Amino acid sequence: MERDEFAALMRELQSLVFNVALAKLPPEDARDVVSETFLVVWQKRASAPADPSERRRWVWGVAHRKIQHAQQQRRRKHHDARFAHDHAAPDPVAYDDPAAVVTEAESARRAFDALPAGEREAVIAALASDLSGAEIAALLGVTPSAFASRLSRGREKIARFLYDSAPLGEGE
Amino acid sequence: MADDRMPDVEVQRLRDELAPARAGLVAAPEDFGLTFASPDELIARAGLDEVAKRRRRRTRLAAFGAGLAAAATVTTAVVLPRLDDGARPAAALPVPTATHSTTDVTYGTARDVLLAAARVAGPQTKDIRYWHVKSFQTFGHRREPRELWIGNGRPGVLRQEGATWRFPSRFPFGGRRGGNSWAEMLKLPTDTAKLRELLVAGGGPDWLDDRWKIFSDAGFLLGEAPLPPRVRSAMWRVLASVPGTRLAKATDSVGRKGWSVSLRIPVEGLMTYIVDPATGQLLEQREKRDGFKQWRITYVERGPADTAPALGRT
Repeated sequence: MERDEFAALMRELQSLVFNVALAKLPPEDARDVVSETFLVVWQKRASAPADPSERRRWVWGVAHRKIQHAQQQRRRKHHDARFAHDHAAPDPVAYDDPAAVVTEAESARRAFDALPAGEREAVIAALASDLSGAEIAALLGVTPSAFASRLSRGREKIARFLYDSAPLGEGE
Repeated sequence: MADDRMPDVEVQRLRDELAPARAGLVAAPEDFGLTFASPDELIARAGLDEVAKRRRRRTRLAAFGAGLAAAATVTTAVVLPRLDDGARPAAALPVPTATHSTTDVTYGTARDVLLAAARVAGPQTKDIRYWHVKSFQTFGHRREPRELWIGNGRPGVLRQEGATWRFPSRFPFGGRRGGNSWAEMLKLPTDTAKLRELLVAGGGPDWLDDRWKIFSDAGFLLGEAPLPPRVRSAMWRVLASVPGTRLAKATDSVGRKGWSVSLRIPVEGLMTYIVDPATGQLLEQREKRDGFKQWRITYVERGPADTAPALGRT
């Protein structure tokens, strides 16, 4: 793998890794998961599969372990985090402009946050990448049909908020 | 096969239908004032790591020797006053500090032990200046002493890893951003159901098992927070209401006798409290996740204090 290929792989997958990690970790940790994942990918580039799809699965395998590891570290630092880390900086507020966007997007966000973990992961993975459904299902380690049904349930719940003014079921 | 195409169809439909919401749902590091490392930065770091690895190989043996010496120092330096009486003079290891009566009483279930702890009143925390907690955390072979002076309406002091620094005496709990003040902690619900709700709501992401959230957060609060007697009691009762706990006689890592209340949660792992029901104190908390080393915090002092150390001293 050359530098340009590596850069393209990062462009393709870093948003996916970040967003899936973000469901389980604070933003700084999710960002670190992305860095550490691709650091390992570069270090082990000699053993990267040639096939693009297999290569993405290989990267995902690294990311998955990094996420688990970060969660474990976080548990260990649980007590420290309570008093020191969490207060070191003010909480980042990503959606802090109520006047501008307390509209459809805000409602959709709330609906998304309320989804069960499996559905949320499926939805965010589909939105944060351009990969095919079959490939995302394989990455997340769920069967294609389970993945499809999670997506469909998640989509319906979010769309309900998004198009709240329209009668439910219209256009189905 | 239709089954193989189904996810692709669903993905396309989702992307089309949720297109207006996509920007609000997909986060970028910039939303949090962060940035991704660039490919070139990572490539450079990989190069540096290589250099560091070679250097580490050379120094590993020396460091190993130094580590053993440090560990030996720490073990002999720890002193153990009784938990229920902060004023009692310190005793040297290995003195079991919980009274023998703890295990003379026989308990049938973990619930009995937790309810017994709930019946011990504990000190009032309304009018004290500081709440002082001394403990050490262990993860694998790494042992980190930790000492806290939480201020009542004033900043707290945390001493850990050889440094002493100030922190706002606020308690991140119940999912509340920025945490709760001491005054707010005094007003926590004494109703078991309401307290349980708070522990679950703020205890972590929703995929996490509720029982794990409860034990994890209640452990932190019983371990380190200046809970008023009625809230402490309610906290123990919430724990007693959790199904699936197991009971065993146990000795904690500094030799104090108590009862171990443990909870095995699939996927998460094993959570254990060592409780002294006679004094209503949490002596030790352990978390062992499958495939990982055990994390443990042992509390050796807990109670009101009039003063906190100055900053910068170690």
